[in-house]
Amino acid sequence: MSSSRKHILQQVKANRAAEFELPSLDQDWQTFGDPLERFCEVLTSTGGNSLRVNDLASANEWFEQRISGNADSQTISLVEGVGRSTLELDQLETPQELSGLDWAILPAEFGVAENGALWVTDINAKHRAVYYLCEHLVLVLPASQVVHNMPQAYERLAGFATDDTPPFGCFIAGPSKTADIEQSLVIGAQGPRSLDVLLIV
Amino acid sequence: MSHATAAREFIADSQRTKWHDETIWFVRHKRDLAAASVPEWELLRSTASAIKRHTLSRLDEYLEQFEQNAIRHGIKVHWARDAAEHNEIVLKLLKEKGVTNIVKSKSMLTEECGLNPYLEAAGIEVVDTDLGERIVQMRKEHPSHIVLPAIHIKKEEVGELFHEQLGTEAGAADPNYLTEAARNHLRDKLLNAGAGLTGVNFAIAETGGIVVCTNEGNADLGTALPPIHIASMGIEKLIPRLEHLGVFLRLLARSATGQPITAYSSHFHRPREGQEMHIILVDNGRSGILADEDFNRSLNCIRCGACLNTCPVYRRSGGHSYHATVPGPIGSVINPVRDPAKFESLPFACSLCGSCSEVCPVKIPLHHQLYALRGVIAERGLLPLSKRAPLWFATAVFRRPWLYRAGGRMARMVLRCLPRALVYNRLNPWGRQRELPVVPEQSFRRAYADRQAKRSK
Repeated sequence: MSSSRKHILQQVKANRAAEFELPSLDQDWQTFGDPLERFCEVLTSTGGNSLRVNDLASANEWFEQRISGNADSQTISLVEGVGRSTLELDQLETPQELSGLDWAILPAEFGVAENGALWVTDINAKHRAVYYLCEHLVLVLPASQVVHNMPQAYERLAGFATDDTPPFGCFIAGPSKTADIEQSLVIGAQGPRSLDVLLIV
Repeated sequence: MSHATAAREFIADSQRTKWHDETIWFVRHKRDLAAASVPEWELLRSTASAIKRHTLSRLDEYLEQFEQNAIRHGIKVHWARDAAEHNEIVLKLLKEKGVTNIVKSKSMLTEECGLNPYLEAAGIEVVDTDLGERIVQMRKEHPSHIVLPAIHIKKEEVGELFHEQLGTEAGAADPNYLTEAARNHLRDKLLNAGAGLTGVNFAIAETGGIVVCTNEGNADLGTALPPIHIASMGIEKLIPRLEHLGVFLRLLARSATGQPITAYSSHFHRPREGQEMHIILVDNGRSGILADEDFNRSLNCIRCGACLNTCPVYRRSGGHSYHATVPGPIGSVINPVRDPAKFESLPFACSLCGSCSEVCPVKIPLHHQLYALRGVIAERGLLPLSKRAPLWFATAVFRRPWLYRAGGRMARMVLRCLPRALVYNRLNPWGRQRELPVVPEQSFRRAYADRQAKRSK
């Protein structure tokens, strides 16, 4: 290995800070009476939108209404029964071909009540750019899959990234946003302009 | 240049100073609300602080563990002793693949290394994709804040800049309209980039992966589209285990902007199919700070910017007055620790109010360190004459009570009749922004003695 590696590691070892114990994470972290309610509340505050539906059929109905009048919009759905795909994600050679995609309907694995974030991965999405390059993102989540807080979230993620091909994963909380011009909040910076979360009750 | 001298230009415009102060105080206020909404906030802070301190006590082990796991997942790991080596590695990687244009997502480290001018000199187009960073880049400036890079710029100025460079309508200053123009411009750059560079918010030894947090999703687009992802990280960004993110992600955005979490917290653990992923571990003086028992806790910093937002001096003097990549209280510690001669004035640009230590999510005792640094700078003989001379004079007077008493008597007499020009001149920097108080009739010593005498009656 390189001489810089050796040099840096030697320096770091020689200069180690004083011994300090690793604290326990086994604490009474914040929980909520109705985590689902809290999840929806925080999601709204981040600029997202949530809707409780009974099944995938009603989710589909909602989506059809949402895009009504824009029949020629480009859509990719990885949630069977909700929306339809005008492009096949698996067939695209490069992620750049996703440019111009209006809607992406994708599954989320779980949500976090504390901060309104949803965990998504690229396990079934050949191009993970689909989460970020679409104009509008719809995430579908079973309402039962909402944990209270981030410590619980990482308990669920135990084992993530231990095998040889760990997935890409991301907490998404609301649509893309910025406040870089005079602290004025603008939704739709570079990624999706909207986030709708369909909670299957 | 000293902080005071550099700040003079900024504070000359008192309207702007007031606006800057209020805008940033608004962010600090949002941070307070967010912190108050978490009942175990203090527990989170002490846990985060302890995790970081533990990591620093075994950093070499964690670095090796991180490297091993990253390599196992197909990531290429590089080591850079300093800024120059970091920049050389990046350029070499780009040249190997014939890349001539790259997109960057918020990385203060590449700013610290001076990467942009280095790559541009080699003929490579570099586009910062964070909107604030893009604005300062287009203005040929540097960020003035580590989280809000363009916080010092008004929307009318952005409108003018975009009119000139992006062809937006003249006179347009609506943030929605301007952000839309930037969106189209940046998406074009993102779709055509040959490589994506990101910083690193957290690196996990246990898994060999990195986490990058943004609100715009620029790190995600900037890595999901180009065929190469290069991540630059300071060696202090490590945490031991994945579960520790459950502590840090709760603190980071709340401390930075008052959000419960950033819109995107991406966990990168391997290259995409057909993509190359590189991580550059950069020392650039960090291992030296590690050895310094008094100041090594500054390496705990997670770059949330909370200390900047709360600092009464930062808010009123602007980030550029610090002449450093990282300004504000944390910058006033790490810069002089690394290079005391260059940054001797920064620890003195502090009122020791302690607010920074109060808000720091990883409990760096910032104002204690700033105070201690003054001693270090004085001991090394780095104080300018304007500070050394008055201190020498004060020492001489305070050592001799009779001289102090005589001086007081004289001042009470003379100050009353001296012409203003003799008191308010270049030799009295205190008189520049302030009126001296009215000279009292009698000394404190006299007043105190009288009072005691009355009491004992």
